[in-house]
Amino acid sequence: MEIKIALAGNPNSGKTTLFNQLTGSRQRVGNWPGVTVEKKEGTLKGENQCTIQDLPGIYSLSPYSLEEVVSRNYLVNEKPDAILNIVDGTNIERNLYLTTQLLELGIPTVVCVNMMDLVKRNGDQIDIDKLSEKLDCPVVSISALKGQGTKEAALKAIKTAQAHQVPRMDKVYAKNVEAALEQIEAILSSSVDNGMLRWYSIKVFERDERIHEILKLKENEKKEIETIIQKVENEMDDDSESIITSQRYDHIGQIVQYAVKKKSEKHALSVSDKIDKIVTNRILALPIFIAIMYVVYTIAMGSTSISIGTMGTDWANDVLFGEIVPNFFDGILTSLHVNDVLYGLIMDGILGGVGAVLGFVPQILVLFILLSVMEDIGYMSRVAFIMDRIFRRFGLSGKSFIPMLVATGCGVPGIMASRTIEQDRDRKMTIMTTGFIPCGAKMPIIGLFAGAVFGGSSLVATSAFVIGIAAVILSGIMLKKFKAFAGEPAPFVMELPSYHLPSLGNVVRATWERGWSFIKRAGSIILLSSIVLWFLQGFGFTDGQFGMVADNNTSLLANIGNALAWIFAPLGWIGDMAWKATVATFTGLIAKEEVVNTFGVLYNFAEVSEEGNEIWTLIARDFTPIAAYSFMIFNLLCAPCFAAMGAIKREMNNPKWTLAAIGYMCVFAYVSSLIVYQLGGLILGEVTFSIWTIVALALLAGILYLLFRPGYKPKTEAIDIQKISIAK
Amino acid sequence: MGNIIVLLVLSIAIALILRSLYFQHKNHKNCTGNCASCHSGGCHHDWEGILRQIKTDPPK
Repeated sequence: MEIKIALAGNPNSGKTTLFNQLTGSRQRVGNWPGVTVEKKEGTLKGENQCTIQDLPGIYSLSPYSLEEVVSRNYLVNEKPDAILNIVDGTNIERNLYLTTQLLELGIPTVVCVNMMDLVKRNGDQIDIDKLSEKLDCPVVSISALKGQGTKEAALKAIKTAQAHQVPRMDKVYAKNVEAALEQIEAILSSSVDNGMLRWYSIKVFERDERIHEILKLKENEKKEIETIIQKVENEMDDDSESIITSQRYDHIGQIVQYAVKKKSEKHALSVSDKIDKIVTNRILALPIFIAIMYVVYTIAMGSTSISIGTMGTDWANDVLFGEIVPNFFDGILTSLHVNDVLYGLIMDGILGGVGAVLGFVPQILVLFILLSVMEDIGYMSRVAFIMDRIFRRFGLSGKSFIPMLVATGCGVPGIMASRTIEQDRDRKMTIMTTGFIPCGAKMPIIGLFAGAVFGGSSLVATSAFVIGIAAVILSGIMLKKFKAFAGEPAPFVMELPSYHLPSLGNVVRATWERGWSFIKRAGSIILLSSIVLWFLQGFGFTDGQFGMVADNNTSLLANIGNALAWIFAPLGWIGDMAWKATVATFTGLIAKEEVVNTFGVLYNFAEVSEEGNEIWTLIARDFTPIAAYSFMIFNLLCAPCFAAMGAIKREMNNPKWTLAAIGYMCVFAYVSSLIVYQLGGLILGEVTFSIWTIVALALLAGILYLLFRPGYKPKTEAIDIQKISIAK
Repeated sequence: MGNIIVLLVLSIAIALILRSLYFQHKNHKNCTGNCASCHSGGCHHDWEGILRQIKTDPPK
C-alpha cells in the first residue's frame, strides 16, 4: 500500500532539511522563509512505498499568502495519508497555532518538535509526553539538521497512517462556539467527507469565502449558518474569525503552560537577541552589512594575505591554465604533427576561452562558501529584515530582497522566487530589478577588471554589489512614482531564526550547486562559443581574399564589432578595445561568463608571456580605469543572459512587460555607465569636456527629477490635504 | 593522420555537448540542477489562479 506523507510547518522550521534527510534528496535549503514555493515530492529512503511531500512553509490554513493557498489546497484536496508537522521547538507557542489547525483536518498527524538541541541549550524543557497527551497525537523530538530522530518520526507517521489514528482534540473553544460548530457540522454533514467535517465547519464559521465557493451551499443553509454565527458574535461581541483565533491561542497557552518549562525570564534576551541588537541596529545595521560584504569580497577576490580565492585563481591562471594544461595539450598536438590552424583553434580558441573562465572558479567557490555560511548561520535573514526597512522607504518590501539574495547565485531562480510576492506591481518591479544583483556568472567580469586594472582591490567587487543594491533602490523610487507601480508595499512578516553554527552539508551543497553549474557551462556552451569566436576573430578578408588574418583587428569579428561599437563610444569604449568590448557585451547575452571567455579568445589567453597573466597586461593597456569601470557597470546592470530573459518572459507572462523589463535594464545600465564615464572621467582628468558631458549632466538631472518629483498616488491611499484644512 | 585524430575527438566532444544541450532543452519537466537551463517546467501550479484565491483583508 502506497503511503503519502506531507511535511507541513511554519516557514523556516526545517521542513526542507528534514525532507532531504528522509529522501536523500538535495533540495535547496535556505535559512529564510519562502525557499520552498513549489511542493516537492520524494521517496522515503528504504521505504519505496512511502512518498514524502515537502510543502511550502505556512503560519495557518487561512489563505493569506501564496504559500498558504498551495499548502492548504494540497492538504484539503489531495488528503495525504499522514501529516508530519514540523514544529520549531524554540518558538513552540506560535508554531502550535498551525498544529491545532492541522489536527482539525481529520488526517493522522505526527508532530515533530525540531531544534530540540537549541531548546536544551536555552535551558528550556518540552515534555513530549504531556504535549502528546494534550494534542492527542504522537509527538517526537528531532534535530533535522543533525539527522537525529528523523527516520523514527517518518516510521511513526507510517504507523499512524496505517492505523488511521486521527487526533480528536477537545475543549479548544468555548461551549457556545462548540455548540455552534456542532450545528454547522449537522448542516454540512451531507456535503462534506466525515473526517474533514470539523475543519470545514470551523472554516464556514470563520466565513472563509473560498470554502463557501467549494461547498456551494443552498440559500436556506447559508441563512441558517449565518444566524448561528451571528448569535455567537452577538454573545461574544466579536467577529467569528477573531473569536476562533483568540480561543485557539488561549488553548495553546494552556498546552504550553502544561508541557513547556521556560528557564529564562519572560523578557530575558537570548544570545541571538543580543547579537541582533547590534547587527540589526537602526544606525549600525547597514554599515555592518557593507563591512561584512567587504570582508567577504576581500577573502574571495581581494589581493591581501587572506584573499584565498585570489590565491587559487592566480594559481589556476598562472600554473594550471598557464602551464600545466597548455603544456599537456601542446605536447600531444606537437607529437601528432597537427597543422597550425587546428593547433590555434585548440590552444588559442578553446583553451584560451574556457581557461579564462575556469580560472575564476576558486574565487567563485570561496565567495559562494562565504555567502552560504552567512545564510546558514542566519545572518542573511537579518539582511532581508534590514533591507525591508530600507526598501520600504523606497516603495519595495523586504520580500523583494529574498529573490535578490537567491540571485547572488544565479538570476534565473532569483527571478522565479519573485512568485512569493502577492502584489502584482511589486512582483513586476522585483522581476525588473533582480537582474541588477551580481550573480555568480558576473563575478569573473569583476575579478578580471579588479585584477587587471585595479590592482586586485576588493573595493571593486564590494562596489559592484553596492551598485547592484543602489540600482534596485533607485529603480524602486523612480518606478513607484509611475501609475503602474504606485501604492504601498505589501507587509513583510518574517521570523528571524536563532543564530547557529553552519551545517557543513548545507554549505557544501549550496556551494557545489552554484559552482558546478558554472563549471558545466564552461565545459558546454562556453566551449562551443569559444570555437565560433576563435573562427570569427581569426579569419577575415585581406585584399579581397578570405583567409586567416595575422591581426585580429582586421577579422570578421572586428568588422562586426566595429559596426556596432559607435553605440558604446559615449561610455568610453574607444580605440582598439572598442570592438572587443562591444563583442564581449553581446556574447555576454548568451551567458555572462562569455564576457571573460571572449576576452580570453581575443587576447589569446593561453599564450602567456614570461611575465605571466598576459591577458591582464593587455587589458590594462587597452582599458583606462574609468573605461574599465564603465564597462563593468554596463555589463553588471544591462540585460541579463538569455536564460534569465526567458525567466523574465515566463514570470511576466506578457510580451510588453518582458520587453519593458529588459529595455529598462539596458537603458538604466547605459545611462549609469555614461554618467560614470563622462563625469567620473572629467573629475579624474581622463576625459575632456564635450557634448557628452552635457548629455551626462542632462541625464543626471533627469534621474534626480524622477527621484524627487511628486509621484502618482492611488486615490485610496492619497490624503487630500486641502480637504483636511477645509474641514478644520 | 594527427589532424584526423584531433578533428575526430573534437567532433565527438562537440556532438556530445550539443546532445546534452538538446536534452537539457527538451527534458525540462524536471530540475536539472542547472538554473540557467531551467524552463520552470517543474512548476505545476496555476500561479494566477492561486493569486486570485489569496484573501486580501486580514482579520481584525
